[in-house]
Amino acid sequence: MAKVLLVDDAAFMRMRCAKLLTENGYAVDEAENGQEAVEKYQKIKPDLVLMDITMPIMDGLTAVAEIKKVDPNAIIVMCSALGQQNTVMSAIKAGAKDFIVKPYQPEKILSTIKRFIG
Amino acid sequence: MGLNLDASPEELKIFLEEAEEHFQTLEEDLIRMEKEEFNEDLMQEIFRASHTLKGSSATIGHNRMAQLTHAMENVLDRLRKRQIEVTSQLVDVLFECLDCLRVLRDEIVNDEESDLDLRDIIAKLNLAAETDSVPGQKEAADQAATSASGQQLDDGTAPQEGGVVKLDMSWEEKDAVHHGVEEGAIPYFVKVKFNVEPEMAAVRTFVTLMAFGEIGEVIKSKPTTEEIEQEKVSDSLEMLVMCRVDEESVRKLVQELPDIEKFEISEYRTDSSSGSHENNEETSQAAAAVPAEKAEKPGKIGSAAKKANNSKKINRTVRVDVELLDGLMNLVGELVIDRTRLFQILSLMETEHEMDEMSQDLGRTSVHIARVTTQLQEQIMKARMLPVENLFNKFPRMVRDLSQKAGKEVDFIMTGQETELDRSIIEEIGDPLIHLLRNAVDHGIELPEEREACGKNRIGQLKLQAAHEENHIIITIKDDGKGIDPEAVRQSGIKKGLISEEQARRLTDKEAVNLIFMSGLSTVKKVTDVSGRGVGMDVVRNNIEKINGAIEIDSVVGKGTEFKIKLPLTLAIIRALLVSIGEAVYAIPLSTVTETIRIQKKQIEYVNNHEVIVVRGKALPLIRLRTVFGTYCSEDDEREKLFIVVVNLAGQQVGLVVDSLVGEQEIVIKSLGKYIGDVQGISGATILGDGNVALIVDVSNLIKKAAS
Repeated sequence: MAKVLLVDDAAFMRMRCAKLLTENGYAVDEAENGQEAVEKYQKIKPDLVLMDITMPIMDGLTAVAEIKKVDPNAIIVMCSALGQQNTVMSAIKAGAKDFIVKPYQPEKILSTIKRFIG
Repeated sequence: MGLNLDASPEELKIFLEEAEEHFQTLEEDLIRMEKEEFNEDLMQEIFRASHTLKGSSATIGHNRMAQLTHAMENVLDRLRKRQIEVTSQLVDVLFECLDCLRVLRDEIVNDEESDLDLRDIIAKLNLAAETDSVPGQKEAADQAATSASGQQLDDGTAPQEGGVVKLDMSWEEKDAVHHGVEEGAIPYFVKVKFNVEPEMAAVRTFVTLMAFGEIGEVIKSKPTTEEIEQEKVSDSLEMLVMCRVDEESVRKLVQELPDIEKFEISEYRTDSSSGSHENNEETSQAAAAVPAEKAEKPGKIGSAAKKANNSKKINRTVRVDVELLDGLMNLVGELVIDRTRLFQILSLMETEHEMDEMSQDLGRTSVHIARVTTQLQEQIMKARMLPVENLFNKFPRMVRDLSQKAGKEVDFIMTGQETELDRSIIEEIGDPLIHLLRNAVDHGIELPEEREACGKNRIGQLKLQAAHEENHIIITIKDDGKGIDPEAVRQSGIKKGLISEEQARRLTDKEAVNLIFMSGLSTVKKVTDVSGRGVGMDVVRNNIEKINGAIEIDSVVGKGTEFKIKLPLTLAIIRALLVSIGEAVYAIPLSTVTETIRIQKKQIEYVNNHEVIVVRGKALPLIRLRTVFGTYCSEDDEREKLFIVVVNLAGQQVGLVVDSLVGEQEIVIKSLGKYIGDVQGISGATILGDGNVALIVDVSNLIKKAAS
């Protein structure tokens, strides 16, 4: 089963996303900030990371850079809200593969994940 | 009208919990933001709170909340970038916005749309976001403003709708294509049209370009990478890609890419595709730069604060109806009664009967049941407890608003928010506290100029403190304002006809100050919309006494006033002093008892036909419970020794005359029921260990009676 690491500081968003992903046959792990994401990434080596941008302790952009240091092949998809295009751009340049815009559309999340890890 | 939100009940619950957390963060941080120097961490926290609210509310489909948080976020974003300044008007607007958010939150709770009109507040927020920037940073702000409105189209890059597929190619580019063809790659012309939010168009274009970079070489694109970075994008992207795969594969890739509305793919043929020149190899690479490789590394990586892990723990909680808790408490109350009863039976057995093995066994079991009951009682009480924080949280904002309205400068300090109280007490104590805080700001603390004239700090101090003390919770409200002038209270009391001049003269200063708890008394000359209408302090006192609490006042003219509120930990079970009058046993809440004295009958003196005794040089009015309750007893006159229970409420002391003291005990308060109704001097009843009923004395009622 493909593993997805879900990074978001809002428990609500994690819960919603995790439900969608598990229902569609992905194994889901969660982290509630960038720092936790970096730690968990090394531990569980997920196939894909869904990364929120605005988070306490360590933001998503920093986390992308940190994860890329550990694993240059990491597949990271940014979760962005409208208005964060500049950060998304920086994240893409830092190695994130794609982005999705909140509010999430389930089909979009699934199709994006599918494209990268099937 | 229902909201038709897209979320399950469990999801909504988490959403609401988180929303409340964010509201709280906003509430606290906005006040700090106004008070403190610019603090980047704080600003980020505020921004995050609003940002998360925006994301979550959009996700559940609460569009109005998403709309409002979006407008709020714009303001906060400019604030954190220091493009606009923190002013108290701005904080006002943000607070108003927070209030609206709470209304919108309640819409979810009630599943009904409110009639709140957001246009006004959104207009205010937009105006705030557009206000002139901080001097000296104007340029930066302007730049940011232009880039924020990012999606303007540059005429030069506008898509050529339906036009012939053509990209102007430089000689080098043509050569690169040519070279690629020689190596076996196929040049494709790809044109895609995006269906994407305008704000995201640049990033989407960039990502799409990158995706093609992974299957081949992008020779040329329109817009170019540079243009994309400057956000000179439209909703379409045209490019020339060299791939080693067939058209079908390219088509498949494009189909998988997100946000693409339509696309065209065709094999590209250059005029010179057959006429080969092989002398340009060295130039080919330069033009074939893949955007991803060219991308500059973003700036300050790792500079984000790595703060201590203060992540919030997700509570493992179950929602329980308060009624269920009340019911449990009631049942435990019954158990507490039985516990007491069991012990009484046990001690009877021990003294009057021989203890055989079975009764010893029964004894041990009783002890165990008693222990479990005590623990059960404690835990259920704990389950009903909430930190006063829940109540205190709204006060800083209130004090801020009040002091601003009154033109005063107040430093509001709260301590002991973690102190826990029974939730029903918290519900009851809110209004009295609000009233006292309002009074302190409105009447206690002076205007800054007045304070300076008295040699005080311009900024008044107002402290709200909660603390655990033995079996009580003490809440103190202390200001360093002008204090209550006993003389003014006396005069007001006389004027309102509450006391005679004679009475007024005899009152000590402390007693005079306590007059403020009488109904109809106000010393304030000017009635404001906040307080001063003479209703209030008596209501405050009544509310507090209703829940078996007590309020005390300590005021020094020119120095300030301190209110001390003593509250029981719970409403259902209290410690009481049991006394007997004739055959009957009465319970006096221990929270009101200051001491018990044994006196000789002849020590009783008379003042104005009222019985008093002198305790430590002070006259203490007496109330004979026997008379109050009309307990029949013939040998009353023969008793030479009497017991006095001294009770104190709001600074007034009275001695209750009883026949004897029975003991101290935990009692479970039961109401007398509708059938009996309100009885003067009795607040309820309890069942004693021997199964008898004891009435609970309503001390505040008795004291009032004594005063009148």
